[in-house]
Amino acid sequence: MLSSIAFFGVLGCFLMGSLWAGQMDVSKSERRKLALFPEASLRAIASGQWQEEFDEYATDHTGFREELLKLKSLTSRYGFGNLDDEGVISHNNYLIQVERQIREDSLAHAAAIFADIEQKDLVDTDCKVYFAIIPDKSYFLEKGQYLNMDYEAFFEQAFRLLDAGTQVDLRPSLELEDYYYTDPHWRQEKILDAAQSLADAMNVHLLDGYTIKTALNNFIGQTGGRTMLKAGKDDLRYLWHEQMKDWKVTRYDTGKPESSGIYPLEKAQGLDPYQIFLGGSSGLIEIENPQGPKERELIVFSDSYGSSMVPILAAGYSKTTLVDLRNLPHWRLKSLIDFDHQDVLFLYSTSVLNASQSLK
Amino acid sequence: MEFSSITFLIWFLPLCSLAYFAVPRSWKNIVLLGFSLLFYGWSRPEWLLLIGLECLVGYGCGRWMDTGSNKQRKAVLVLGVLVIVALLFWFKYFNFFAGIFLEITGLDWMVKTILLPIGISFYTFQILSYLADVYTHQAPVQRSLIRFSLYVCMFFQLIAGPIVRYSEIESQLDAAQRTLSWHQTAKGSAKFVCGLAKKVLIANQLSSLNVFFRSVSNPSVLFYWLNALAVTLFIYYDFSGYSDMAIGLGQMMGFHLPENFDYPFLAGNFTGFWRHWHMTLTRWFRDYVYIPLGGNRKGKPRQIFNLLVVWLLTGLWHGAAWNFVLWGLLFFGLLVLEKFVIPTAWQQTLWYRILFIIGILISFVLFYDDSLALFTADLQAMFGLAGLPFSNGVTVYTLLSNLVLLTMAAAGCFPFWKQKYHQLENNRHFALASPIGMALVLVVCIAWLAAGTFNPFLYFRF
Repeated sequence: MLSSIAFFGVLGCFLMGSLWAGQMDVSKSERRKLALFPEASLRAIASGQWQEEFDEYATDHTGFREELLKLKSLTSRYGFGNLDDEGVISHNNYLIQVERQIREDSLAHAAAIFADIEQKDLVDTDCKVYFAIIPDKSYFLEKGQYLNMDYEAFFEQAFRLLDAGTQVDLRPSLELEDYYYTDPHWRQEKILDAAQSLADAMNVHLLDGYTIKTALNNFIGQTGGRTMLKAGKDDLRYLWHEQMKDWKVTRYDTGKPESSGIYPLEKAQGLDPYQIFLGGSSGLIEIENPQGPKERELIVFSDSYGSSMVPILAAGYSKTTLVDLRNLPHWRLKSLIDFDHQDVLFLYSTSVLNASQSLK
Repeated sequence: MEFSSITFLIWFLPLCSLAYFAVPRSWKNIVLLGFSLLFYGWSRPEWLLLIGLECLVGYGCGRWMDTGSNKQRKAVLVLGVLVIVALLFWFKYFNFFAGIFLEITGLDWMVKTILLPIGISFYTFQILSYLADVYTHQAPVQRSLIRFSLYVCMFFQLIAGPIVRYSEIESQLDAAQRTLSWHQTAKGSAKFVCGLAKKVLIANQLSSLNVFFRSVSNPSVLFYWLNALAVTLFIYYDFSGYSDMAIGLGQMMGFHLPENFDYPFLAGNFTGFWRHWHMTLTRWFRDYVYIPLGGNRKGKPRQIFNLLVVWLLTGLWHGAAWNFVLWGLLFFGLLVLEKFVIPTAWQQTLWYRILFIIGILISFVLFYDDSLALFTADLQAMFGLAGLPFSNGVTVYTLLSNLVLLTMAAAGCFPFWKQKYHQLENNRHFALASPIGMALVLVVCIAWLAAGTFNPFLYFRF
C-alpha cells in the first residue's frame, strides 16, 4: 500500500505542480521562452500538431522543473560519473562547453557569406578589412583534454575564411581568467589587452583610465543556469569612462531606429544580464562618438562577444556600426550601410564560426 | 504517446488511473478502452480508423466462425487472416517489396505516402492469435465488441507488447474477473518504475553513447567494440524496460501479462538466448507457425525448412529491410548449427559462451545499423581491418565517462538484484525503504525527461 501511495503521490504532486507551472512563460536557468499552451482547432488535433505542441508544453511546464534540471545534472555527474554534463565540463571552477569537432560545413558556410560581403559590399571601396577570432573557453584546455578539438588546425582553417584583410591574432592577449566562470563570454574588464591588439592593428587610440563598475553581483551565466557542476562566482562588471555619457547609441531591431544607452543596466535584472552591453544582440547598432576622430569610422561584423568589445573600440572612431549577421541577412547590408573608407572588422568567436548556420 | 514522456507520466497516467479506479466495475472496460484510444490516436488520430477497422474485422470473423459450419469456419479464418495480414503487408512491407521489384524490373510501384502505424506488428499478431485460438477452440468467441477491442487496444501493451495470446487473457477481459488490490497496484507500480528507470536512465544514455560514437572522427578498434556493447545493451534495456512498464501498468489495472525477457545474455548459447529474449514473440511463432507447419515431427529436412520460415518471418517482423532479413537468417544458421552440428558438450564450455557473447554483439550491430554497407564497415573495423589503432584518447575518455553506466547496465543483466529484492521483500525495514527508493527513482526519471534528454524508442518501428 505504501508503494502505491508513493507512486501515485509523486505523480499527483507533479500533476499539481505542472498545473501551477503552466502559468510561467520563461525559464530563467535556460534563458529561453517556454512553450505556450497550444491553440486547439479541429485541423490541428486531426493532424496531431496540437498533441505534439502539447507534449512540448507539458515538458516545458513540468512542475518543479528548475529543481528537476538541477537534479538531472547532479545525477548525471555524481550518480553516473559522466565526465561532462551534455558537453559541459568544470575545469578549475570554469564551466566550459567543450568544442569537440571542427565542422567543415560550418566553416564553409561562414566562408561563403564572408566572400559574398567582400565581393558585393567591400569591392571597389577604400575600406580596410581586419579579421580576428576570439577563442572560446575550451581553447585554453590542453590539446585533446576532455576531447576538445584541434584548435591549431581550427585557427589555421578559420583564418582562411577571408581572402583579404589583416589578421589579428588575439590568442596571445587572452587567457581563461579573462572569461566568466559560468558564462561562455569574455569579461569586458579583462579584455583591454585584446582591444589594444585590435587598436594597434587598426592604428587607433583607445581611452585610458576606465572605471570598473558592477552591474550585477552573483551573475549566473548561460552555462551556469543549466548545470550543477562546480563553478566559481561571477560578478557582471563593465568599463565606464566619462566620455561615454555623450555617446549616442541607436539600435535597428525593428527597422525603426531606437535610442539606447551604451550600458542599459536594467537588462542586468532580465533573462540575459549580459545584454547590459549595448542592450544585447541586434541586427544593426550604431554608436556615435562626438569626441572621436571625424574621419575615422568602424564597421564591426560580430556575434555576442562583440557587444562588450565594441564600446572599447568605439572610443577611437566618430561612428561605429555593429552588425550581427545572425539577426540581419548579409544581402540587406548594401541598403543600410554606405561602405566607403571605413575600417571593417570581422570579429567572431570560434563557437559561432564552428556553428555558423545561424549566420544569414 | 510514449510511456517515457512527461505527457504520459504526469497527465495521462494519473488521470487514467483516477478514472479507472473511480468508476464501478461495469464501466472499467469502457474507461480503459477510451483512454487506450486516446493513447493510440495521440500522435496521428487517423490511425484510429485503421485499428478500428482491424477490430471490426477480427470481431466479425470471430462471431462468424461461431455460427458457421466447419467448412465455413475455415473459410472465415482464411479470410480474416488474409485481410489482417494484407493490411500489415500494405503498411509495413509494400514499399520494401516494391523496391525489390523496381530493382529487378525498373517499374516503380512505390507509394511514398505510406506511413507505418505504430504498433501494427504487435496488434496484428494479437488479432491473428484470437482468430487461431477461436478456430481451434482453445478459447471461446468474444461476443462483446468492447471486450474484443480492449484485447486489441489496451494501451499498456498496444504498441510494444508483450504479445498476449487470446486464450490466456480472455477471462481477464471481463472486468468482474479482474483482481484489483493495493498489493497488485504496489507490485505493478514497482515494476513500472523499474522499467522506466531501465529506459530513461540506462537505455537513453546508451543510445546517446552510440550517437556520440557516430560523431567521432577518430575511433579505434576498441571503440567499435564499445559501441557494439552499448548498442546491444541499449536494445535490451530499451525493449525490456518498455515490457516491464507494460506489465507493471497491466498489473496495476488487474491484468496479468506474460514476462518478455528472462536474463537472455546468461543463456550461454543461441538456442537458449531465444528462449529468454522477446519470449512472447518466440512463443507466438512457435505456436502459430512452427508447430502448424509440422515442427520437428516430419523429419530433419522439413524441420530445417520450418526453422527457415520462422526465422525469415522473425527477421521481417522486426523491419522491412535487408539487414533484418539477414539478422533472421543469421539466427537461423546459428540455431541449425547448434541443433544439428555443434555437440552439446561444446556448447557448455567457457569458450563457447565467449563466442556466443561475441556473436550476440555482432548480431545487434547488424540489427541496429541503418544499412548493410554500414554494418560491413563496422564489422571490418571491429576485427582490425580498417587500419584503426587498437585504442586512443577518445576511447579511453568515453570509456571512463561511461564506466558507471556500462557497469550498471552489465550488472543488471544478472538475476542477483532481483533475487536479493525478493529475499528482502518480507523484511520490515526494507518494506519501508522500498517505496521511498521507488519514489526517488521515479522523481529522477521525471527529472531526466523534463530536461528533454535524448529519448528514442526503437520498438516504435515494429
